[in-house]
Amino acid sequence: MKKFIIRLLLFLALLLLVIICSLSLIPNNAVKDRVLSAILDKHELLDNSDSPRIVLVGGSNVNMGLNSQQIQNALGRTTVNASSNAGLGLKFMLADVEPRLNKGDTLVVIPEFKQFTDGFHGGYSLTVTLVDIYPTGWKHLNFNQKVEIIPNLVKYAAEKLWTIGTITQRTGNQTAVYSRATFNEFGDAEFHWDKKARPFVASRLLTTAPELHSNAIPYLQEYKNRLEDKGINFVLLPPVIQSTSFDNQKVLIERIVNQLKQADIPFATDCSRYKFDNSLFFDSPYHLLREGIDLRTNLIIEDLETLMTEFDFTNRESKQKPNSDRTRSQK
Amino acid sequence: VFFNSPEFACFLPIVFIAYWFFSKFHNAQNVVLLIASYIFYGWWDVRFLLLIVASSTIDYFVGLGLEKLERTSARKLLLTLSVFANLGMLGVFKYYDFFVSSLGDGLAGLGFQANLTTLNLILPVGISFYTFQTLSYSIDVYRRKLKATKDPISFFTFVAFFPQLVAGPIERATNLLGQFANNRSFDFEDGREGARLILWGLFKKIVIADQCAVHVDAIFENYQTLSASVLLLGAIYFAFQIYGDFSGYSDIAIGTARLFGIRLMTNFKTPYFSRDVAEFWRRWHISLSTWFRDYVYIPLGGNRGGAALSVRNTFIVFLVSGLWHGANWTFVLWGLLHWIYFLPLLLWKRNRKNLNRVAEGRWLPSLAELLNMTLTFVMVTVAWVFFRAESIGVAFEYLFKLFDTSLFSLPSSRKGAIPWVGVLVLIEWIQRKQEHPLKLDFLHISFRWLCYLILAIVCLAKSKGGTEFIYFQF
Repeated sequence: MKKFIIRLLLFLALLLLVIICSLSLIPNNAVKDRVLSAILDKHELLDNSDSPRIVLVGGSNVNMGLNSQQIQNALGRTTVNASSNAGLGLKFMLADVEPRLNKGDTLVVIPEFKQFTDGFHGGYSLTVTLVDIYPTGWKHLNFNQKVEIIPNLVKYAAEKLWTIGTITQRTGNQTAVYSRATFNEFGDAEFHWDKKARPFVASRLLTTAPELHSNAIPYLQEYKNRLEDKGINFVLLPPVIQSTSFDNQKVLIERIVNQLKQADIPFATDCSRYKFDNSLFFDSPYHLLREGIDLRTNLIIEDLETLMTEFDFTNRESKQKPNSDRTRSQK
Repeated sequence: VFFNSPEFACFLPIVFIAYWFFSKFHNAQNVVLLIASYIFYGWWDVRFLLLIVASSTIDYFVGLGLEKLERTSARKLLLTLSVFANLGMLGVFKYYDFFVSSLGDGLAGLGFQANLTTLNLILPVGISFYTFQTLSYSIDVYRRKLKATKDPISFFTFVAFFPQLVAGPIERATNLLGQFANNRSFDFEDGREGARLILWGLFKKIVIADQCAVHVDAIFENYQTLSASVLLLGAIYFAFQIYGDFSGYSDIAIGTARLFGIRLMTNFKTPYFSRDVAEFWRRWHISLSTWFRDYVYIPLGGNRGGAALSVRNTFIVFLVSGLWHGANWTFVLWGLLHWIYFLPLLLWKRNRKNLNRVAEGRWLPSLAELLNMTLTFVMVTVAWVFFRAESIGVAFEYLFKLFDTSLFSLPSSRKGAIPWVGVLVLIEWIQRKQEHPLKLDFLHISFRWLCYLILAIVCLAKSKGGTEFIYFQF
């Protein structure tokens, strides 16, 4: 028994050593040219733009599915597409953008539906981002997230070893759809806009709705209240989604909508408003081609026009009666 | 708890330590295993533990009754009770809805509208495995091949033993029950072989099955728009997905059991190197095919009543085998297709031709062996299309789409898993004479460890964390 345990522990120690060495010594240079690293550019955009702004946050449905310049022109307000990858998780995205928001800004959160379930705390993309792109981002993780990320760290270490020949070199690719260079000065990914649609698989059919992440809605509620206390407007919009995927995920969408309503932070508009024809999508149920982008951007402009008039009105009112509305909303 | 999940990585060491803590008390070890097994199963759905307990209780008392009683009629009655109870549970949970809806469809086809209600029950994980296991105990006691156990803990542990509870191997009481009755002490060789088998099983599940699954799902979902060569690739991938998934599970189960000093039966022996379908069934899911042989085929008369009776009996076995895999006509057709493959071998008495190992004493197979292996693999793969497809219509459509000139072009996409399948085939071929491919004792320890380390890293790199095993649904 002793011999077996010693050998087993020795093997596991060796494996652990390899994992640690891989995480700390093998640089992932390839990722620096890829879309994930754009989080650093988005930080810069946020740091270098003047408030009051419209700040868009979400996964790739925001990155690859709207035209921020058009929104800026229509609404006359600086617009920053600060979205990243859905794999970072809604909680991380919101925590990351919060310190960069100022009074008077309007934060438009457009999460993919998966972000309300097991995607809320992030996944593999978050691990890659924290290890090789944005190490200071660890501060945004709570204890549970830090525990949950361990298997992904192990997997990432193993993958780095497995792909050591390719990841240590910069890709240098400045034209690929998923390169860091795809983002324009507003933060929108634009290389794919005029490409041809690629074949992709729709979101899988759900017969029963998965449970929502237990922290997702309480966190959103708390977050919204915190922003409003700082004088930042909060808008929650549904993502654009391919028609087939919408139908396949209907049970989940209904559950999310109902629970958000119950928590008094509903989507600002009906989800089916952003259910688009299959032909408008590029390579995933969330990534639009130019025609879809124009259509969706116009819908967002319509939605924000109405909401921002309300915000302006509320802000004017709350300036006149500083405490009454805030007290009411907190109740 | 899935074998490939972080939960199991925590669960197994705890049970291992608790189990060997009582190394001088086999009864206490059995209690540890029983509790662990019930936790393992209850983790999925605690309500269905009742079914296992009920099945175990019935067969425990049936066994005692069969042991005590002398009168054949009374003994037959008791055995009938066990058969009805076990197959009844299986029937209600697994087959009721299928037969009712098939009956409804049949009547509708004849112009009658029957208002039949289905139950829409959840299928308890592993029910087909443990009911067969406990049933074999009652039958063996009835046949006086085995003495009934008076030790309920041993018996309940035999039914619920967690490594093989939900997806086999389907053990016989003659092999497994006796092991729970004896003292077990830790053996280094067992521990080492167990750990190696677990690692190899994880490789087959995570690297082979899960990698193939990604492509298989995409190809079968979009088969109407893909070229014939991609469809062919999809069918081949599924053959390896199901092999990696199921034999991987069996390896992990056998390896885990060995960590506890328990030997389970071999369930797979490089089945894709079979030279005919009869050999394939001696190498694929061995615990199920031998179960059907011993408890269905032989009681029906086996091959003792001439060719016609043999044909009938094998037909029943393959039909039941298909149905065992699932309550769907696709599985029935899969079973029947294998029967059709088997029939010429049976009629020409060539079903026991290939009893030795392929390319015995040689590195490479002869041309005849290679052709036979290829033909068998093609036949088995065609049958797998029925196994995987959502309906018989889809399976036929998929197969018809293969007959296209694009079959002779290189697949334009979905080539990612080819190297892994190649690696698996190569390793299994080189190591086909060994008990399992990681039996690398001919290598220096440093090379062996390097192999294990590479395998572990590949598994970690490719892992998706607790993906379900296909055979759980059966």
